[in-house]
Amino acid sequence: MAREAPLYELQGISKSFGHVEALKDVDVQVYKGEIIGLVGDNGAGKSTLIKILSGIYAADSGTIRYKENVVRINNYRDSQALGIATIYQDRALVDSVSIYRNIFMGNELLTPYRFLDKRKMRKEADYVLNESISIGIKSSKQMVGDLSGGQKQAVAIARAIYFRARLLLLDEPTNALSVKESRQVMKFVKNLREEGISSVFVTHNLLHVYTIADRFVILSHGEKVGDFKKAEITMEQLEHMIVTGRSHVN
Amino acid sequence: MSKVQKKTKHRTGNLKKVLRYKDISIVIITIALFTIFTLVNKKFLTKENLFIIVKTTPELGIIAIGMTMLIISGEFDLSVGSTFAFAPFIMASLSERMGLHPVFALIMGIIVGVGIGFINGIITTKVGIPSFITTLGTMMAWRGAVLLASAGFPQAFQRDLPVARLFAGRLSGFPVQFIWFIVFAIIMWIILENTRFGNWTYVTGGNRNASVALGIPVDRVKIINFMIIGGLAALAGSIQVFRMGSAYSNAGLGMELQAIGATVIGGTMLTGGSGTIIGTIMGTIIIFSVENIIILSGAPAFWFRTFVGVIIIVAVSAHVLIQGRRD
Repeated sequence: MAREAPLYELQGISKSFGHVEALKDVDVQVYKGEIIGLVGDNGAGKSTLIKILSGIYAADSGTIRYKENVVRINNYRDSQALGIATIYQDRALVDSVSIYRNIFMGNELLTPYRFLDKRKMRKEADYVLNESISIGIKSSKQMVGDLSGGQKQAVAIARAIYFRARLLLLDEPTNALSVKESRQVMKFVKNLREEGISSVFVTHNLLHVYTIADRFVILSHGEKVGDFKKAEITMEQLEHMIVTGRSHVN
Repeated sequence: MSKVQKKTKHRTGNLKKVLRYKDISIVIITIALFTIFTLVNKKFLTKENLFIIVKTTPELGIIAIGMTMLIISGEFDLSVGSTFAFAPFIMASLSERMGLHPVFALIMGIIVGVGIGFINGIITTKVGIPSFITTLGTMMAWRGAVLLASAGFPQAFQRDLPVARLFAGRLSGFPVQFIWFIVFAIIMWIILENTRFGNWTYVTGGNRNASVALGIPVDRVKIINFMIIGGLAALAGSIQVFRMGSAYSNAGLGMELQAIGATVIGGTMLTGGSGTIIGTIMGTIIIFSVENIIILSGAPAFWFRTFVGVIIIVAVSAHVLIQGRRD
């Protein structure tokens, strides 16, 4: 079956830190509106891969393509310009200011006289919070510090989608969350898929990733050891592969 | 006033909502203290007495406004007391000894203050040492410089010059410097609440790493705030010179801690990222009201520091009790 070309494509990505080979010749494709579970044991190279996509590290070799064109990601701005948004574990939010100021920090909307257009920022923030990810936040004037962990995650994601992210990189997004909050976060990642936004979900929690992902990329000691659609693999097989670093097929 | 406040008026029944308004605790503290002071001495709440408070407040208040912005951005400045003496001394010397026009002398003095702030900012952000250390050093250095330059003698400055009357004269009896204090407070309030730079000041102090991740030039934000407080300290010191007719080498001793005191009484967190100008104005007025009530009551003036110390602790405790700890 001829499938459309991948939105983002990593080919032959390698990265070493001194003598440690964090990634060895890794290929990953991300298609539009797809949730990828990036799994593997500690030290498998998951975070390195995320950091290459978000512009924190540069790969030693390999190419990155966006819509079939070779691109370079040298810094955060390059990554953002390609529609990639990283949702960090600490969420990169400021607790002591309001939600709308967080969403627009660094990208403030201004009036013609160069003052903050607070009304428009609040309106846009309320819209994106209520329409796209509804998570029970009453007003974007609330302080981020007063929100629950899941709501904070939602604000971070709202910021990403407001600025037209096409690929969310979620690094352990459910780590510090309660069961209920994790479910909420996973729900709106799923909703975003309906809108054509892709996600790469990095987590240790197999149950979470198995529930949500469409495809799994398994890393072990810096190498890709498996790439399966959900229908092709059971959760037990996935767990087995993460532990042993070997494909269940052979 | 801010939208939050307007909105809270519609929901007066909902106490929780009112308590969320960020300046509510300082309003409660101010009302409580003024009530106590009035009960202690009936003369406290008279027009004549309030004029006395209003006359002395601006010099510290102008510095405290700058301190508020700097602390919100996540840094301190201990050198403001020395700047308060050094920059106006330069102004007075340029005008009286070198014959420079007083207005240009004032401008030069303020440039010196801004320059001192710039040096503090560059050392703190580019070398990467805590501003507490940087400004402790510059506090001593500039105090030494003004002592050296003055040899300990006051530098006279003509009191009846137009520029002196503009900043420290009287408008039908009312001290003009208080009007300047309010003008600067409003300008800084607008900058903090309604400009991109203000937003960057809050987020830089609130979470530096997040701000860097989102492309905010945090070092530049901090340096500019150091320059603002330097310029404001120079201006405040000049107002004192205009008021007293002399520049003293020991002016502004201990003022840095009073300015930090006024800022924290007003509800600004030393950890950065939150605070308001309105709170700081109230904090400054509280400090001078304490001094005033002590004098009115005929108690020894030495009590002043003790009382201010107690008020700082009581006020910050009240903020925590009223609004809750934000970790």
